[in-house]
Amino acid sequence: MRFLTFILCLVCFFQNGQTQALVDRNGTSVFFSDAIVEDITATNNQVLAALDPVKGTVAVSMLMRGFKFEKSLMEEHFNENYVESEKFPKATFKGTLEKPIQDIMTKPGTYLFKVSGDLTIHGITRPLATQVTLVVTAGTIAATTKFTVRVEDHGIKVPSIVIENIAEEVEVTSNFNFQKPTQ
Amino acid sequence: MSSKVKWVVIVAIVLLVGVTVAELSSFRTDTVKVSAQELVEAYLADEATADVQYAGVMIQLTGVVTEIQESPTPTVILYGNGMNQIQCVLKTGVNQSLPQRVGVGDTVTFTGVCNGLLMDVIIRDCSLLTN
Repeated sequence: MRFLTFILCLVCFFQNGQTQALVDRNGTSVFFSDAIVEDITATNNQVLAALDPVKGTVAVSMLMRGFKFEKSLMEEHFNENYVESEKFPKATFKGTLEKPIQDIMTKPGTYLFKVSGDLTIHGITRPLATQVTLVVTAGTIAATTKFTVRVEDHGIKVPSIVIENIAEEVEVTSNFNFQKPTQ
Repeated sequence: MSSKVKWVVIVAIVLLVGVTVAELSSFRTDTVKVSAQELVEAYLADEATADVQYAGVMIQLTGVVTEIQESPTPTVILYGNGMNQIQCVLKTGVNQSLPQRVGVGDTVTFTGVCNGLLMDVIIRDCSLLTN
């Protein structure tokens, strides 16, 4: 709820000013595990993201139960045994772009920004620094980022019997499509 | 049958019954009926309590369609309150033609499993019950 309040504050604050916060309720996050025995991919298409163009602040939140796997048994193991979705239902990221983006919002093109902040998965928060590509068009700003997460860093224990099925580092790719506010 | 074998059989039966009862009690199969507005209000009032009641649970949800999305996943949006809605993510392969069969303003009932709250309440594996 605190995270929702944070995002709602972003939206409300900027609706009162000249610039509105950019919000995508249907962002996508995909994680890819490349292990010895098998590759595992899971996709979440209900990722919430908010971007403050003036401050460069970014907030992302997703429900762990929202990840869809190829096999339902994988989904069950993921939620019950690894990320413990009932106890830790969300993963979040709160961070800041290296500089505000208000100047590029009216200039179509492709831009690369550094972003850093705190990534919380499985109730454990770790710093994350990565890059995000922003593609600005007349009506939208598309954001894409890719980074790796060490499973162990977030206290996710993989039983030794399946150690060869799950990679120690998981690649995460996220895509967001923000509608630019109408002037 | 010797008394030793009898005891082994009795203990095995008791263990089997115990495990079965424990499994059944932890497996929530009841469908909870709720309106879209009630569900959103419950989550906004107390997310943790609402999660205990609804998250991971099969619900039967009735509400008014405000938007239909074809991609990235076919989804029907139901009215919750002003800013927080319900996203009914349709069950893969079953409801592919559904967005053509429901319209904005229709009152519909879905069954699906509640994932929880982001800005909207997310319901997965939704199937249309009535409209």
